[in-house]
Amino acid sequence: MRTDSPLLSVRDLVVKYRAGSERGDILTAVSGVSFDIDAGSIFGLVGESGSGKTSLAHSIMQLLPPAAGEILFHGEDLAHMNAASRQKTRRNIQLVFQDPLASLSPRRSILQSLIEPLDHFRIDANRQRHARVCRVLETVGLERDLLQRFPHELSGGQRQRVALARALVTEPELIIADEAVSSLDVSVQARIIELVLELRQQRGIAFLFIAHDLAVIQQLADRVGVMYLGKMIEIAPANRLFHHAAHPYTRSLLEAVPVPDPAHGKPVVLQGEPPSALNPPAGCAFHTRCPRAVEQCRVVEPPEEQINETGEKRTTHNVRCHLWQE
Amino acid sequence: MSNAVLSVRNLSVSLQTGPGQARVVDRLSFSLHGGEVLGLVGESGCGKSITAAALMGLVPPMAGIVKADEIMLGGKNLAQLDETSLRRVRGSEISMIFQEPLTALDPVFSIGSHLSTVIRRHRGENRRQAKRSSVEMLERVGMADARRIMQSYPHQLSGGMRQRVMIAMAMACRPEVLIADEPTTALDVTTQAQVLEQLRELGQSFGTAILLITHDLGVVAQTCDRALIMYCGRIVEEAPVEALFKAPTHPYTAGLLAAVPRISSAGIQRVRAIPGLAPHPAALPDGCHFADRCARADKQCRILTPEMQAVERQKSIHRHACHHPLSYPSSFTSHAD
Amino acid sequence: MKTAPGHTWFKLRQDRVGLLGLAIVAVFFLLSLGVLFGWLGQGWSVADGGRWEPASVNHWLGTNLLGQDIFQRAVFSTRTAFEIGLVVSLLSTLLGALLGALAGWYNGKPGQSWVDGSILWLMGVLDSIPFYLFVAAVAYALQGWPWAMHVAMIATFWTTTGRLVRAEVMRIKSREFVLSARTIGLPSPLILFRHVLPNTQHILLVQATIVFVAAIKTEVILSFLGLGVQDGVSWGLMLAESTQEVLAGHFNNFLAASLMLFVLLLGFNLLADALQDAFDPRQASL
Repeated sequence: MRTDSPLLSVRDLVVKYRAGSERGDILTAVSGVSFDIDAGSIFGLVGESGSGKTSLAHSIMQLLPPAAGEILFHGEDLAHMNAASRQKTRRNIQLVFQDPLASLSPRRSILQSLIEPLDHFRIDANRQRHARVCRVLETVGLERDLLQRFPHELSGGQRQRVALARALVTEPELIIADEAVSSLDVSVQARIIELVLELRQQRGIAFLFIAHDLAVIQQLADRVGVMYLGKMIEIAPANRLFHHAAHPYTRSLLEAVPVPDPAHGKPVVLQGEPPSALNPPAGCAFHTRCPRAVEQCRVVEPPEEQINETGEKRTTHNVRCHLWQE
Repeated sequence: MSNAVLSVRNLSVSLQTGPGQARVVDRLSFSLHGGEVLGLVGESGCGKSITAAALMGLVPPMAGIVKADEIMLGGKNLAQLDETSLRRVRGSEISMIFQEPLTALDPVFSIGSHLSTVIRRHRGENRRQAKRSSVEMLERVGMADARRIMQSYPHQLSGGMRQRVMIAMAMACRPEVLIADEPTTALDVTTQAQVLEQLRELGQSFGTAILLITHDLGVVAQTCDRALIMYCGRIVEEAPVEALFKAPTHPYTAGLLAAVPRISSAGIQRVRAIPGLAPHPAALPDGCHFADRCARADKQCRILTPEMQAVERQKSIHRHACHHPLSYPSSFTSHAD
Repeated sequence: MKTAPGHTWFKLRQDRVGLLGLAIVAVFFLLSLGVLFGWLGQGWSVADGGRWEPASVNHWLGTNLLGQDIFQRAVFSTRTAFEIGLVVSLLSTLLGALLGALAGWYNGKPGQSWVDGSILWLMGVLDSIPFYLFVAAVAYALQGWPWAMHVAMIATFWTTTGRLVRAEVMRIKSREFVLSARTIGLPSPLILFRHVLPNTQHILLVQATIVFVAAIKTEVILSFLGLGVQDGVSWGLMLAESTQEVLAGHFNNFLAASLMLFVLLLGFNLLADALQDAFDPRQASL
């Protein structure tokens, strides 16, 4: 599945939106983010609330227009596509949301929700659409008799699997999962994680997996990016990130996750409040909470620097920090 | 271990749902000891939140029927108190904090107003005294600019700050028991760690026992002394946290632990899902509710409901309700020894 | 419960008072059907009795000033009432739903929010015109056309529904299932009709019942003003006629009309309250 050019390429993306009714209330949700996703790979995007990860996902899905930068799919810029290419891209990139109850239309049956994309994209002849829906249900491990039910009759795990089925029904090349397992019970979450790995293995579907839970990310991702207040502050192959994280924020995230093992030490608490996206701090956005901040951090925004020796773009480890060498 | 500040015997709650009567809490019995943090752990729908509501007497009579032999708190049986007496007990001897602080705080009242109201109602202080006590409480929960916070309104604060205000309100009257229902689920990981630390510290210094309700096993491991594992309205295992994680005896607990992803430095440990689905509360099977998903289940499990059995291990009591519990490794030694 | 409507029906079944309201409305509806099919109340205009006859076997409630049978007239009026009520409530609710949905959907959309702006402006203008002035103007312009009254009512009653639907649509459109439809690339009108509007059902149903009541009450006043029903009889007309009769000491006309009116409106109001409770998602049982 490895070709030289990435499936999805995001270059210097900037996304803004109007946060209030005043003229000056423009919030820069994403300020200059770049990364690539290869076909058949899983990219983990980590960030807490306010990091801009959801705006990034919405931008890739063409729900929010970029203020600057490019989003390239198969090398073609989304913003400059003609209508036909744009529709084709919509088929090929699908999104799964966090709250499965909210993402399925409450007054439409499961069958209706699953067939809608097929009808819209005119996939298959009419008669074969039902068969396709049944096949995709089987893939996610659900029974056929669910088709007649409505979303509120299903459990959280079943709903999320329906949402995943809906994303799969058009046979996309890339699925964006925005906090797709965050509201699920642990055992259901484990099943979805298994499912995502199976889908990648058997069908070569690439994933942009957005989550705040680093433990979940470690189960899935080949490459990981960490966002803080709209910037990608660290990006690296997964095993490098988890063993040699360079950015203080990444390290605090790793240390803050409560470990299900009482013998492990207590999580290290990060002091201070998360900054507001409407009024970002000068210099490095993390300096207000960083245990190692120095004068330079308060004034100069750190540039993105590569910290490992590799020529291959897909295995670089980049960080935005003045102090990464120490 | 000090003696029990809260003692619950045979608490049951039945709800009237569309399909029929649902036994969402089934003869729950447990004790909470002074100064400890007891975790009540389970997945969604297991009945843990209803248990909390039932303990506080907050289940509306139209919605559900609550029965209990006893809910002993400070010599009083809460199960037999009327609403007026319960109101006196709530907030002063037993209080509760919820998952989503934004909806638990009235948006038109300032933080100071919220705090002072609680303090004046239960401690009988006058306005000036209450104000001072409020500022003190806010500082106790780690709010740097307490005076400014007093004037602020709920929507002006972040999620973590609001949750700390909730803790301040709940602890203002030095209650015997605090019930925390998923207090950090809606918060970021970095904020979560702060809030949990605050909670635990405050509990220690005020001598308040905390019943921490959560589905997050990481939170249990880091914050609780003991834990109760709930499944389909019943407690299936009860143990000190260390024993629970190192050597669980109930297959469900073991299944949960195997499904939790952990960050590891030595290769990835793949999570394993528990097969099957939890039964609907209105259609619970006979015998052990977990039998259909359990690799160790046999005919007996589907007919006879397993009763709680207690085992003493390393000077503490470990309880489980299982016909075929997992064996306790003889090599296990507790760090507490 | 299997479906969302099933759940609502389940809640409704438990509301005794609401069921009473439903029963009352059903009875009246059957009466009106009876009139429509020609089985009842056909003799409403026949003046075969003496003036102000008391109740008798021929005329169950006696006769009015012109010797017409009061009972027949009262029964026939049920059909008039339902006709006005149904036409006005259905059409004004539809109009309100459509315009409200458009306004809510295009609100805040750069370049297209003029749609919202203009609909809001229209609502403001219509709400500012004194209602009876407006009706008089429409009645005059349409010169005795029997539907003039209906048009006037529809043109003003839609605004409340419109505002409610607009607010609800603004709430719904940021929910994830709408985003999901947008990510597939479904065009806006399709999303509005298939995903958004059906989720305003609860508002529409309750509004329809409220407007039904308002329409009937309005007709009473219009009849007093001579702008009401032109070709037929209604309780409003009967009440208007009866003002003089009451002065002469004959109450049958007045009582018949006002009792029928009162009972039907009471039934509808009870039903509307029960529907509102049944649809309220926050009152859903655990």
